[in-house]
Amino acid sequence: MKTLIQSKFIAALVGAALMLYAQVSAAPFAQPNWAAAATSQYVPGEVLVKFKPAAVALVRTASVAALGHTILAHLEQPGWTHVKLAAGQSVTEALVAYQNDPNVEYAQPNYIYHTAAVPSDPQYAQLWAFKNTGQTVGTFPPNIGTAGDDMNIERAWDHITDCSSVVVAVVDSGVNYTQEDLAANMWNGGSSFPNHGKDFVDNDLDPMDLNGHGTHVAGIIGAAGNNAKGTTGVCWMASIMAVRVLNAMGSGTTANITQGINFAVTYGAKVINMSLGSGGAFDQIFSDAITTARNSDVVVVVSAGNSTSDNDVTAHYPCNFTQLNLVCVAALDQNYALASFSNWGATSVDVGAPGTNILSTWAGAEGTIADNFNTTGVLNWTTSGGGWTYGQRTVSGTLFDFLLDPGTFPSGAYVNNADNRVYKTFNLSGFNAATLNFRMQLAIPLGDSLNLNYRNSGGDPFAGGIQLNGGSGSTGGFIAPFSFDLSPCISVACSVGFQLVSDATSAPAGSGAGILRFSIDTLTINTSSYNTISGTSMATPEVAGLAMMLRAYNPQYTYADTVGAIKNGGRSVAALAGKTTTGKAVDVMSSLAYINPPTGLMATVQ
Amino acid sequence: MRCWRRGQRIGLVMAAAGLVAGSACSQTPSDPAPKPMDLSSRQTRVPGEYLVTLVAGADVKAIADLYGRYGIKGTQDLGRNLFLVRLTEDPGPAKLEELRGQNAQIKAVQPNFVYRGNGRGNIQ
Amino acid sequence: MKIRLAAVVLIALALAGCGGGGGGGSSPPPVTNHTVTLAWAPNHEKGVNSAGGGYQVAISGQPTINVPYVSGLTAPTSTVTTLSTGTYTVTVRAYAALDAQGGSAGSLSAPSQSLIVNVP
Repeated sequence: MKTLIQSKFIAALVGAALMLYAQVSAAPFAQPNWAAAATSQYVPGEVLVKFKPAAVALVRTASVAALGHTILAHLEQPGWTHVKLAAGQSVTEALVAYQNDPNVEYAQPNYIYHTAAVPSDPQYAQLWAFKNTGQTVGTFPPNIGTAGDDMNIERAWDHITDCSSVVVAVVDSGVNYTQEDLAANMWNGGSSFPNHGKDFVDNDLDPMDLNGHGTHVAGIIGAAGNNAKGTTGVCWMASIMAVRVLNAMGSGTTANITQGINFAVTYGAKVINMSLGSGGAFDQIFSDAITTARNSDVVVVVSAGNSTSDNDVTAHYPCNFTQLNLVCVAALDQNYALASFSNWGATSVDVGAPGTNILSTWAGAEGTIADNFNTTGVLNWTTSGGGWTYGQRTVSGTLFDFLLDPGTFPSGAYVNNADNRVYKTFNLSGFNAATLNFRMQLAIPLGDSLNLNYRNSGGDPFAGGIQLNGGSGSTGGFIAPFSFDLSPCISVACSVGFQLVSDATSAPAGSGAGILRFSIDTLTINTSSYNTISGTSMATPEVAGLAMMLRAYNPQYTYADTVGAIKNGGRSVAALAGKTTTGKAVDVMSSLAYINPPTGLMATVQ
Repeated sequence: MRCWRRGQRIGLVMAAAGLVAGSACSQTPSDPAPKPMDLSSRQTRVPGEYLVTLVAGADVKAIADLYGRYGIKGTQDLGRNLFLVRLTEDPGPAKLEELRGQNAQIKAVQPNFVYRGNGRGNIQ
Repeated sequence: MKIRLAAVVLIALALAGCGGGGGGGSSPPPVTNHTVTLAWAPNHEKGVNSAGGGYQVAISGQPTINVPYVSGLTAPTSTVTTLSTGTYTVTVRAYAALDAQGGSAGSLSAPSQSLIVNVP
């Protein structure tokens, strides 16, 4: 017994002597990587210390106590100790101190490792905007990107995923609020607005999307995240208000849109997304609505447009409005170049965000009923009054099927006093929306008329049908695209037809009409459709989603704070330099950590 | 007289309004070489539709007084003294603005502009 | 006796009239200390107004004043300091624990617009 005590005592003495010795000459050992430590995340006020095997527990305790630290835990690996520093002492200082302790083999910060909050949504790997790994997505070129060129959002999800305290209004073609990945994230409008918003196209309370565009935008903002379904939005939980101002063809007016904005503001939206635009004249009433939104502290995020043009030269509205609560967004591709279609503007466009090959929720299943007018070369449409016939023409080296009147068009001319009708009946029952698309070359002088009609009970659409358009006109020798909303014709027998009416004056040579690429494109609303499309329309909701996240994270944030964090927290990107006011692509984590400079500094001297 | 224009894409809206011909739609036999397709000829405003703002407290009758000569198909109250007016004949925004000066009850008049979604990439 | 006293007074008066630094002239203004209260509008970031957040007040030629969040809904938005006669440039920066990598190494705002403070 005595021997044991003696030997422990001697060991302690030896240890102390060694320590004393070490003070004079510190044993060298592996240096931690200071550079890595400077940029890595680590827990402030803590270090991990690996003592040498010879340093018994007493020695370790003494080493730590000598620096004024406390031991938090002995880790499973022998010799590793989890140490808490004294108040006010930095990790760097502590690491230096332990380096000089001869009992210490190695010391390092207590690094933080993230699971990087990757949500469980099965389509997540396609969302290059949130995580660009260089994956191939979609077909719009270039469809393969550069790893790292994304919105840097995953780290932000460690801090916030539920943004449902902030209502975001999607002012668009409506939203399919039954879509499986959106239903849980729709705004609760109570009994007044049971369908989560309002429809200003049909002036009713059903903002169901008959196009797909609005549903896609809504999904980018707030498709339910981490729910093992589909995709995720910028936030995993959201409150999306559906405001329908664009019809089934994606078109809307000042009247619809300003009513939509006023509705969103009145019912508490704090962010409004408008992925729409017009190259045209300054619209005072639209501008006034944005001012109203600003006065109610609402952030408005809009798209720059898709005409590859400079908005500083040709104004594009609402992008070019100048209110301080407005943010205009350009589109970037998977390599963070400006998307080939994207507008820009050194003073009119603010930031960029991913806008090509974006996967998101869709309104339903799309179909096409294409018609080539003939059966084995013979017109199979019903005619009356003659004139119309089937023929083929070569356009840019490709042979197409045509509906022609006269049959020699674009040579010759049709007869005088004609009432030439041609129509066909289609079964459109079961569809929710239908768009008539065709291309046409036309040369009809004043006095004559080409009419387009439909009839939703079948038969001759020019006997009791509805006219979609009609009159004289010319496409100047070119073939032009035409689209019409055929939704009112949805029935088992929807007849669509063309009628050429001529007066007694002979039409000049070259008069007539030729129609090609005729199709009726249909939409059937369902709960499980997704789609990958491109546009500044897709970049815009990413920024609206960021605005939503910032306002949810910082409940006191004003529109000015939010816009400041979006613009200043972005990442400088070469493609946006000189093309936007900030030269930046949005960066979610950086914006979340951004702090607006204080204001209102005053001094009182006594 | 109605007319077709190249590249028009509006469905229901066009059907509701009666198009006004304008000289842009006529085509003479001796027309010169074809012009390139002009996308700006796409509708930027709804023909025949105007947004009229009245002075606060003004009577909506002022709209018919001033613009009734063109045939008023309908007037929709959008609130806040703003009305959507549909005319049978469309004399154009410049003419309506010129007339506005004759009636102090009407604060402003402008077209009902058309906007489109910016999705699907660079679509025509 | 009287003459001596008078001479002392005269000399004292003459000396008083000399001021500092020889060769005649007026006396320099006295250097005095003043209490200065600096105040600013509150930042709206949650991080500034919670643990690890606050403000830094920079005064030219002076050590930076740290104004940390302590408790309650907001961090303090004023500080009181003593400054001696002179002209000072003051700026305020806000800070929070959350950094741009998602850790807690901290973020600091850009400085506020500067304020010139004249202490008499």
